Formats: sequence, structure tokens, C-alpha cells
Amino acid sequence: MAKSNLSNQIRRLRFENGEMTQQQLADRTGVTRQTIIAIESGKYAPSLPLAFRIARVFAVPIEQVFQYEGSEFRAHGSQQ
Amino acid sequence: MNKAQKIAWFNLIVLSTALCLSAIAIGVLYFIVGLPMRGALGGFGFMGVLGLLGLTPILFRKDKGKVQYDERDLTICRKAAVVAYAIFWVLFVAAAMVPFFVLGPDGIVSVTYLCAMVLGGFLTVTLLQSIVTLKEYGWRGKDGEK
Repeated sequence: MAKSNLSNQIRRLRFENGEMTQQQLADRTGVTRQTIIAIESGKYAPSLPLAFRIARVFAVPIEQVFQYEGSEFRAHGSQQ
Repeated sequence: MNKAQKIAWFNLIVLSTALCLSAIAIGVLYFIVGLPMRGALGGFGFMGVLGLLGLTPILFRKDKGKVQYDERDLTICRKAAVVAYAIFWVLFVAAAMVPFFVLGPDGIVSVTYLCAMVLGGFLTVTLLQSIVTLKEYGWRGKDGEK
């Protein structure tokens, strides 16, 4: 799949949480290990519910797990 | 390698085998045995190998208690189907319209041509769906596992 604009801290968070394996994270979030590998390497952007489930496993806010690296979009009429 | 990849590889292998055996049989019957092309086309009988595709649900059963299919698999499956059916539709329309332009509005097409369109459509969809699925997962099957 195409690379997404999302970067993530999953690898670091796994190791900070008792060296959790990819399989353990996959089991706790209800996906396959392949999907965790694809997310970690930035090849796949997870759905919002999955992103929340991953963040919940690490007990951190979602922004600490995923960061958006794309260009900024501003709504029409918003203040500069 | 997950279930979807195994099924895609299985489909690809069965399709390739059926096509190769049919091509070889037609070649042998036409060039070596010396049958006319109409008789040599009997080599298409090897397309019966495609019946093995029906074994997919038996060969790739679901393991209990293990996540085998998730949102990423669904996304890949949908993309493969969209690509396969988009290309199939173009080819199908072309196959239906070409006789009109070649033979004219009063031309006649063999009934075999209609059957070939259906078989060709099936082969196109299955082949493309398998190829796109494998490409999306990464051909090596491990998808960068470490």
C-alpha cells in the first residue's frame, strides 16, 4: 500500500511497555501482526477506531502515538 | 503470509497451470498431431483445471481464535476487486463492440465467442485480483517483517 503521511511512535511505545511484541499488540487491538508491521513502517494508515485502540493499549493520547506530517489545511474563512 | 495472500497465490498458480496446459495442448494438437484449428481448440479442455479453484474454502479454512482478517485486508481486497472489475469492464465492452465495427451491424458472431467472453472475463478478474492483492501485500509475502 502507498506510504501515508502519518508517522508513529508505536515501536518506541512497545519497548517502553515491557518490550511488547508486535503479536501481543496485534492481539490486543484485534488485527493481524502484518497490519501492525505495516502501520509501524508507515505503509498503512490505520482507521480512526484502530488508532484509538492502539493508543488505549499504551494508555496515552492518540497524538502521542500518531503524528500527521502532511501540509496544513485551513478551512475557508479561518483566521491566519 | 496470511490467508488472502495464500488464496491469491493458489488462484494464480491454478490459473497459470490451466492456461499453460491449454496452450501446450492446442499447440501439440495443431502443430504435431495436425488437427485443424477447430479440433485443436479441444485443448481448452485443460481449462477444467480451474475447477480446483472451488477447493479454496476447504483448503484455506479459518483458524479458530486467531485474527486472520482485519481492516487492512478488507481495504486491499476492495482495491483489488475495484482494479480487476474496472479493467474487466473495459475489456468486456471492447469485446462486445469490436465485432460491430469489424463485421458491421449485420455481421454474425459465433456462439463460442460469447462463451469465450465469459471465460475471458472470469480469467481476467481472477488473475488481476490475485496480482493486485499480492502486489499490495508485497510480493515477498512477509511485508517487511522483522
